[in-house]
Order: sequence, then C-alpha cells, then structure tokens
Amino acid sequence: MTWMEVRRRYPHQWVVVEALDARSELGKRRLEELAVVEPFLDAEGALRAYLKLHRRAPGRELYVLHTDREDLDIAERTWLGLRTAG
Amino acid sequence: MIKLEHGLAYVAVVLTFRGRSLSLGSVILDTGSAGTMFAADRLLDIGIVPEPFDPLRRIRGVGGTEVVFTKRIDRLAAGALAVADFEIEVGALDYGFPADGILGLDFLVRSGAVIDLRSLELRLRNPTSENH
Repeated sequence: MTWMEVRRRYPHQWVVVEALDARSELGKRRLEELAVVEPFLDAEGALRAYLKLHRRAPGRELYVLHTDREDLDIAERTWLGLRTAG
Repeated sequence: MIKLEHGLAYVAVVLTFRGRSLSLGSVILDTGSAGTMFAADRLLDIGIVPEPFDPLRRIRGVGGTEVVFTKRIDRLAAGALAVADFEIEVGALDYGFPADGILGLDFLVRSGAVIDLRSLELRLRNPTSENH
C-alpha cells in the first residue's frame, strides 16, 4: 500500500506500519510500499507496540504514524554510534 | 558529575515537558552525536507520546537504524547546564546496554558545556584559577 492508501483505509487513527520498499534520497527517507502491522486508537498503545516489535526485530523498518498526516516528511541523520569498552 | 561505565561517560539530566519534570540518571555524553535522544518508554512517565504531526527522523548508524519522533521540550538541564525550548528525539534506543538517552553535541554547544574529564565534571566554564 502507498501512504495515501493507508490513510484512506485507516482514517484518523494511529498505525504501526512497516516499510516494505523505501529509499533514501537527498537526506529524506521515501516510503514507497507499506504494510499496516496494526491500527491503534491511541498513541501510547501504538508506541508500546512499536517498541516491542522493534526490540524483537530491529531490522524491520517500522514507523508509528497518524493517518491525519498527509505527507511523510522523514529526515535522515547519520550517527556513528557507540563503542563500549565491554 | 560524569560517571564512567562500560568505557562511556554518563551524566544525569532533568527534562521538563509541558510543566512536568523527569530525572534520568544514565544519559550517555556523546560529542559524536549531532542530536539528543531519549528512550521512549522512560518519557511516557511525563506524558511524552507521539502526536500526529511530530517531525520524524530516521537515524542511520553502524548499529542499525531507528525511527524517532521529535519534541520541543521546555527545558533540559544537566547539572549547572541548561537550555530552554530544546528539540529532543524520542526512540527505542536499544543499543544492548542500559541508557536513558544520548546527550548530543547540540545540547553541549547550546549550553556552552565544558567537559572536564580530569575532575569528571560537566560545567559551564573553566574556573579562572585552573593553572595546572
């Protein structure tokens, strides 16, 4: 589904979505194809579900989004990350 | 006060959002991070949840990627350092060891921080008497 289709099918609510096809372009992340993992009535429920899923499978590209949002304007930034001394 | 653990520097911060304050004791001081990030599950305590139009950001790192939402908070303080009306990133923050957040260079620059790794202090400026 495109974001437009997600918005039409799940209006005025929170959704946890997974990006099935996405690309990085000019400092933005463009989501081409999405799958709705689960819709939610409240933000906290959606956030908690996202955190659980992310912990279980950090490789999945998951988003918590509200379908009142028209455009997905997702900026990207790079972070080298941390290296611990063990 | 800076505490060294796992070879990393940790500080304590107090953040204030819409009049409610939260103390976080294990925030990693990281001049290699452009932004300041906090763990979403900790911030739920003061009612920080995503809102429909929060700006989103995807952080790409060596350890993987994660998506964060951003919030403008009233105030962020670490010891004597404080900034008002500051943007934070909120995400899962799973890096395999305990941390409530990452205090990035944006906060350190805006607050005029001096990181003193001899006395393990985060402070506003060098004392004038420091000659050794």
